[in-house]
Amino acid sequence: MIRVAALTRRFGERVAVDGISFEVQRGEVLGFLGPNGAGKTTTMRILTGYLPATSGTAEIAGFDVSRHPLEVKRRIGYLPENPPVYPEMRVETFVSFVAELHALRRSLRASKVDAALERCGLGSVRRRLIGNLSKGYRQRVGLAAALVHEPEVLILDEPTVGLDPAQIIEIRNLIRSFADSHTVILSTHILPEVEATCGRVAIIRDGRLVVDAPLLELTQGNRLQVRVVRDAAEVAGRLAALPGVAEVTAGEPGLYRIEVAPGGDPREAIAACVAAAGWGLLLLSPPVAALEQVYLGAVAGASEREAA
Amino acid sequence: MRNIIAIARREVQSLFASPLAYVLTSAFLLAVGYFFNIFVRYYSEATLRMAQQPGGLEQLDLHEMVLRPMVANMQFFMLVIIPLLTMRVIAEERRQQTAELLFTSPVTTLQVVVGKFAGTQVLVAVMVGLTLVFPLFLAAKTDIDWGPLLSGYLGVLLLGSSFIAVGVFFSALTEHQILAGVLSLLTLIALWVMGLAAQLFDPAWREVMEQATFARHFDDFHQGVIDTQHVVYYLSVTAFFLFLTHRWLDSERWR
Repeated sequence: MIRVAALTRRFGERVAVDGISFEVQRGEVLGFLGPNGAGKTTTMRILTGYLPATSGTAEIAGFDVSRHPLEVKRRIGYLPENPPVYPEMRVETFVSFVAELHALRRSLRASKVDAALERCGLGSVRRRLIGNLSKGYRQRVGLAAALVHEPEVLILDEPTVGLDPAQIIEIRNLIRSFADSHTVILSTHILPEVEATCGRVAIIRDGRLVVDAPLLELTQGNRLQVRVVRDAAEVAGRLAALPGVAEVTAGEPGLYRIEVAPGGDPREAIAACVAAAGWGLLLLSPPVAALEQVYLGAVAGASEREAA
Repeated sequence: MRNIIAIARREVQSLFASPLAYVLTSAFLLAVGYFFNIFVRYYSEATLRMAQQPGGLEQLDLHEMVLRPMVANMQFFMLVIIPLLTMRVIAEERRQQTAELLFTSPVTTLQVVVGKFAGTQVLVAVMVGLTLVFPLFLAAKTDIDWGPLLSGYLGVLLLGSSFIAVGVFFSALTEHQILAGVLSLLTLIALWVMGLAAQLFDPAWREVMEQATFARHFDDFHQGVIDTQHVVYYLSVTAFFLFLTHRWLDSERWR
């Protein structure tokens, strides 16, 4: 659905995006991570045709962004970091204007606008001036405008910045509801958000792609943590002997980190072993901050490589 | 075309949602009306004076004494008002980042530029059209010569469209609205007085400068002459500045 190859963008001397390549399949939600200034927004702007690439290609639904910009723009819905809304317009007039730009026929427009407003929970404010709405509502207006033409691809640049926790959850649910029918690229700094919504993670640092993998592979794959009530000296040794366990390291009292051998799944064995020994199993899960560690590792790794 | 209309209509809606359009329209009507009042008074005094001489009234021409100066004055008011109207057109889109919406929607840069221009032109047409109430007052009491009056109005609108195009260009050039307004005002004045400065140059340049100035192409209109040369002049100035705006906006994204 989205294919990016050796994409590079320079601003004068500065290289903002440096030879990025990745692909996103139809129906996939890609979490696009990276520190501020890593090139996330620039990449998204190139994909949406707002900025031209210095070199490399970006394709959406088989159309090259630089050669068929209108075909691409017809197929995407884009929510930039600051929702591009006209404060002097009313919510429904604005969304209808965007629908008009997307050449939705007049007969269809009203129902599509209604559907988008409904979906984003804007029914109660549809006659309000956008300038009088709170940041959260403005964000939703931007989202409704990005959705109104039912694009195949949604590109969302930090859609939950500046929202309160309840609004974040709403937007997150909204994004998850697109997952089946749309292809989504989502940039964010909030790692739990990625864990909650994305099937795939790309981490970018200094314009280069350092990680591109399915979320499950990154977070679960080969690590588990176990917490027991009654800690004993032999716990680490007994766990390490189980089939599928490669290595056990003790953390704080009662907490053990387990490296899983490739291809193994020792969860059942661990549970049985702890129960049989009467240690009292409290927790058996992937490490809580798994993605955080992957992220920090990727970002730090890149900077070390650069220093070397 | 549909995209241009959508953008132009939104532009008009936005203009009328802000106090700016009303303030400027009122100021324009006030200025035109004030001078209309002066010309009418002057004309009626002249009527009283001339009525005492035999055949004196035939020498008075309502069009020459009232309507033509009224139309001629409009160009000066537009010189000031149009930069104030256009300075925000594109600069504001960039400041509130709605430019990102327009340029990621399936519309071309040229459609955006033309739509913005057309929206402002509609407002200016409304503004200029409202001044028709003044000749209508006269028409209630006397016969007026509509032909030269309306061709004068056509001249005003054509002049207005080249002013708007200049203003749109400067609004695209800088994100600072005030700067855009000042630059377009200065440019308009420069293009205006270029004909006067032409005297100082040698004949070859003088001819070019005299032809390029705004004022030179205006006078025929309110004498009731619609000369294609002048129509083409204003339309080409408009097209030229809109084209510059288009190229500027497109090239800017590469930087």
